Amino acid sequence: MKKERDILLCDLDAFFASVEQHDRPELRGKPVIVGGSPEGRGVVSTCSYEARKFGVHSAMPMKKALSLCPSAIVVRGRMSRYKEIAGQVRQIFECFTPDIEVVSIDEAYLAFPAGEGLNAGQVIHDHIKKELTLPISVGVSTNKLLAKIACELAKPDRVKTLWKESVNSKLWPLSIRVLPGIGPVTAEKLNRFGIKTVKDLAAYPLESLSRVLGNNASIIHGYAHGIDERSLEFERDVKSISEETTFSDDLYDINTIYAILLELSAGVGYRLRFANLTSRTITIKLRFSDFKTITRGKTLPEPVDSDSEIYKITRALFGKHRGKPPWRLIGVQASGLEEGGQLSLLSPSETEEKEKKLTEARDKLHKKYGSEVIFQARRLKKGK
Amino acid sequence: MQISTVTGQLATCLETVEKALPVRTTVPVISNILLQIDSNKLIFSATNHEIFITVSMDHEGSDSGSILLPPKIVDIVRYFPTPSVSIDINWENYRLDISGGSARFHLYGSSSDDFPLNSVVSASSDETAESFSFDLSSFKKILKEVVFAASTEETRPAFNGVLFTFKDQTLTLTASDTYRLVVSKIQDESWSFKEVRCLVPAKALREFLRIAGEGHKGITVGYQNSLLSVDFGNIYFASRLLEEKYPDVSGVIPGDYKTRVVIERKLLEDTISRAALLAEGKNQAVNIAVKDNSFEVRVSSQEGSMEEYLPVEQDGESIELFVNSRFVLDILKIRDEEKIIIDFHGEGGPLIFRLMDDSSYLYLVLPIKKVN
Repeated sequence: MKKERDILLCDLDAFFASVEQHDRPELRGKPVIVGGSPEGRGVVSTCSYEARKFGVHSAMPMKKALSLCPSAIVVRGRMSRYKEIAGQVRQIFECFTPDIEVVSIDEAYLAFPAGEGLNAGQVIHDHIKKELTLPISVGVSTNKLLAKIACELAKPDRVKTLWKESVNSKLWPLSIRVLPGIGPVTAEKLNRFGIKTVKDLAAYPLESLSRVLGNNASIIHGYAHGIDERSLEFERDVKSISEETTFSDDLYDINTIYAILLELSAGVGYRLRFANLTSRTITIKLRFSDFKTITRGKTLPEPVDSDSEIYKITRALFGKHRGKPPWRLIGVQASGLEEGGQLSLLSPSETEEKEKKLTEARDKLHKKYGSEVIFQARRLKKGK
Repeated sequence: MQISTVTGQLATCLETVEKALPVRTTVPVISNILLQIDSNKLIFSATNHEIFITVSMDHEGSDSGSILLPPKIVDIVRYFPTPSVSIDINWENYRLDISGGSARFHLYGSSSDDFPLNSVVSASSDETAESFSFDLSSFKKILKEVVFAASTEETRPAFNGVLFTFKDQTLTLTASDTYRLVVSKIQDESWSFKEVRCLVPAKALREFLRIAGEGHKGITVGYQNSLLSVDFGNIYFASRLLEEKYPDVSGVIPGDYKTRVVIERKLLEDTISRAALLAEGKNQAVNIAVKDNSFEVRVSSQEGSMEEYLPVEQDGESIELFVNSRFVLDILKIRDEEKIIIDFHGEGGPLIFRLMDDSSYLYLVLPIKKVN
C-alpha cells in the first residue's frame, strides 16, 4: 500500500529577478527584467512582479517588453549566481526533509509525513524569507498535481493548500490549462468539444475523451478529479560535497592554483557547515592539459569543517601530487561525512576561536549577500 | 657460578620484567634484561625508558655480580621441560648454560656496564620526593576507575596521561580524552601531602594493572625525579612522568543540574548495549530523553531503529540529547553500584554520572552536537 504523505511544491517567485533584487537593494520595488540585450533579439528570461503588472512576461522579446514598460531595469543574467542561491535554497529544504525532487532551478517537490505538510510549508516559507529574503510560493497537498495547483493559487509569496476535499470547489472552476499535459493545442481541441473548465473535463465520459486524448486520457481524466499517482523522484543521501573549476586557459601559475584551492575549500567548508556536517576525508581532483585526471585524498584523525583546515590539506595534497603544469581543472571534495559532532571539553584555542568567529561572521554574510561579498585577499589577482 | 631454582618461579619473574622491554629500540643495550645477583637475591630489571620494572626473587648463594640476559631467555625458561632449572654463568665471557633434565641451552649474555639503571633508580635528593602506603587492591580499583577515560590518540599528549594530584589528605586522579572526564578522589587520615601534580602515562598504568596481581597487601607509592613509583615487595614499578602541562579542567564541571535521574545501573547498561547494536559511525550516537520519570533510549540509523524506556526517579526538567553510547557503557561497566545518578545540564551541557551518597567520584560526558 502506498504511504500517505503530504507533498509540497516550492516555487521561487520570479527567481532570477528576485535574486537581482536581493543582491542589489536599489532594484527592490522596481520593474526588473532579466534577459538578453534589447538591441539584439534578446528575450525576457524572468521579470519581477513589478514588471508583470505592465504585461511583461517570460519569453517576450525584449523590445516589446521595454515598449510595454519603458521604466524597466534590464539586467543581464548571472547563471552561476542563481545556481549558487538555488543551492542554498536546496540546503534549507534539506534541513526539513531528505525527500526532495528537484524539478528545476527554482522549483522542487518536498514530501512530509501526512499531516505535517502545511506546517512545514509555513516554516520553509518563513525560513527562506528570513535567511535569503527571497519570495517563495508553496503549494501543499497530498499529490504532485494538487500541490502544483495550490502553488499557482499561492502566488506570489504565499502558502496555500489544496486538499482532495476541495477539488470540486477550487480545482473545477479553473481552466483546463492548469493541468499538466494540456498545452495550447490540446486545450484548443478540447474547447471544440465544449470542455473549458476542469469541471467540464471531469464530467466528460472517459471513453469519449480517449478519442481526443489517446493514451493519456485516463491519466488526464484522473487529474481532473484530483488524482495523481506520480511519485517523487528523490536523489538520495549526500555522500560527499565537492566543488571544482575548469580553467578557461590552462594554468601554469601555482599561486593562482592556491588561490583557486582557497576558494573551492571555502565553498566546500561553507556547505559542510551549512548542512551541519563534518568530513573525515578531503580529496583533490586534478586534470592536466592532456586530460589525464587524478584524485588524491587524505583521511584525517579528526573530522574537519573549517575553510582553513580544508585549504591546508588540499594545498598539501596539491603540493605532493601536482605533477607537471599546465593544469586544466582542479576540484575539492569532502567525503566521510558525519552528522553533528562530539563536543569537546577543550575550549578552542585562541586562534581556533578567532577563526571560528570569523567563519561564522563570513557564513552570515555569505548567506545574506552571496559568496562574492567577502573573500581572502589571496584570491585577488593582479590586474583583476 | 650456578643458580638453581624452580622453573615456574623464575618464569614468573621474567614474564613480569618482560613487560618493560622495548618493542623496538635504537639503544640495543636496553633490549636485554639486567640480572643482578647478590648473596641472597636475584634481581631482574628492564626498561624501555618510559617504564621500569624490577623483580626480585630469593636465592641462596655466595657469589655476586651482574649480567645482561638476552630477551630470548624469557621464552626459554617459560617453555622449559623440567620443574627446576639451573643456570651457569661464566663471568669471563658472559656465556649462559641453562640446563634441566636432558635439555641444555647455551646463550650469550653481555656486560651490564652500559645498562642505564642509574638514570631510573638513583633516588638522589629530590625535595619533593614523597611516598605513602596504600592497599594494593584499593589502588588498583581507583586506577581502573579512571584510566579507561584517558586518550589513546597521540594528537594531544597531555591527555595520554592520568593526572595525580597529591594534596593534604587527598589523592585526586583525573583522566580525560577531551570528550569525557573522570575525577576520582581517595582520602586517608594518615596522609599529609605537599601539593604535587604528576602526569603519569595511562599506558604505563595499564601495564602496571597487568603485572600488579591480586589480593590485599601493602604497597608504597612515591614520586621523585620525574618518576612515579610503586613498590610492592618483590616488584618495583616506575614510570616516567609526562612533561606536558595538564589543562585546568575544574571549570568544565558545572554546579547545579537541570535534570537529575536515579537509575538502575545494570538495567541501563543492558539497554544501552542493545541500543549500541544499531548505533553507527565514529560517534556511536544514541538519543536519550528524560521526561515524566521515564528514561527513553532511541537509535535511528541506516540499518534500522530501536527504542526502549526505563523507569527512573526524575528531578528537574525534561531533556533530550545525543551521546556516544560507548562513553556511557564504559562507566556503566566499570562501576558495580546498584543505582547510579545521572545529572543533565541542558541540551549542550555535559552528562555527569555520580555515585549515590558518595562525592568522591564523577564521570562527565559531553553530548554530541544536535543535528538541526
